[in-house]
Amino acid sequence: MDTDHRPLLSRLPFPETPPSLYERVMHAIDRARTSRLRARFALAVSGFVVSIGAAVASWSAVWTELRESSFVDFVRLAASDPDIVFMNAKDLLLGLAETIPLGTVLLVLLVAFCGVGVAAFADAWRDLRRTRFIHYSSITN
Amino acid sequence: MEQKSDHELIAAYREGGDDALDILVRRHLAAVYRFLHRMVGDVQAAEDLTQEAFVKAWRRLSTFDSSRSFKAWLFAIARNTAVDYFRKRKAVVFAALEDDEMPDISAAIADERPLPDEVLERGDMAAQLESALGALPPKARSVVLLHETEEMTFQEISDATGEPLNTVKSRYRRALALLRKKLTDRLQ
Repeated sequence: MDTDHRPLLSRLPFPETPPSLYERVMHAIDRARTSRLRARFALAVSGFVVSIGAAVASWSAVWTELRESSFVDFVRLAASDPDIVFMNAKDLLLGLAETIPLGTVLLVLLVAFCGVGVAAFADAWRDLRRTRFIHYSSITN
Repeated sequence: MEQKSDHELIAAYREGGDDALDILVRRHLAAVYRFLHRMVGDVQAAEDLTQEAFVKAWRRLSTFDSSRSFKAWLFAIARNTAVDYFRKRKAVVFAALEDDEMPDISAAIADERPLPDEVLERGDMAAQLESALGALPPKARSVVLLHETEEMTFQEISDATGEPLNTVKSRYRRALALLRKKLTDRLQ
């Protein structure tokens, strides 16, 4: 079935590839890559800014809550009389868990989010600079 | 680097080797452009679609399944890009993109002989053939081109397009028969 038609299809004109097509394709890929990195970059920057803002705004409330809670007293007791802590470890741990301020947990999560944001920011920034360099080189070379 | 297989180049690119992408594009550019040019029959549109197909391929490169043929995968993207182009242009009635619109050529299917020498020897054969090919529905045209000019097997075309093997074969047979009919009609 296949070979019978080879002579027929082999008569199709062979279109020449335009000389500039390779450059156009690579530039189109570079543009798409830059656009994707810009989107990632913008997302990372907004995440970073939002998380920093949230951390700063909640810091005073967290600090007050931490001072007012008995969490610090538990820590002090554990440091000064570890024997008592070990003897009543179960009760003390339950008590400790109850005194952990929610704000502090939130702060920890926010800081972690900040960390991820910073990492993504740095990564996107590095890629963006690298892409722009490659794009620039391909134009100038 | 130039000697590496497509799969090795993809692995190198995923590890940060930008040269690997350059080589992949250079290696397949002419074939993809040729295929798209024959699909759409227009130089400017073929150039634009080639760019679009490679950008799509680059976007999906991270999800490329290494157990598949890269060439078949790339041509599937190029083919879908061409079909989308026809849909957007609306120059082809949407239903005509399907083979259902192809006329009943069951009688011609049985005839698998090459075209008469008289037809092949005509000086304007290339133009006639290109014109007849352009009159085929895009999906049928793509199967003929992928199989005949890009030398992809029916299995590769089936894998690339996600269509059953028998559908691909049947589409090919009907397209060739229709092509012969169109050429013979033009000759007479």
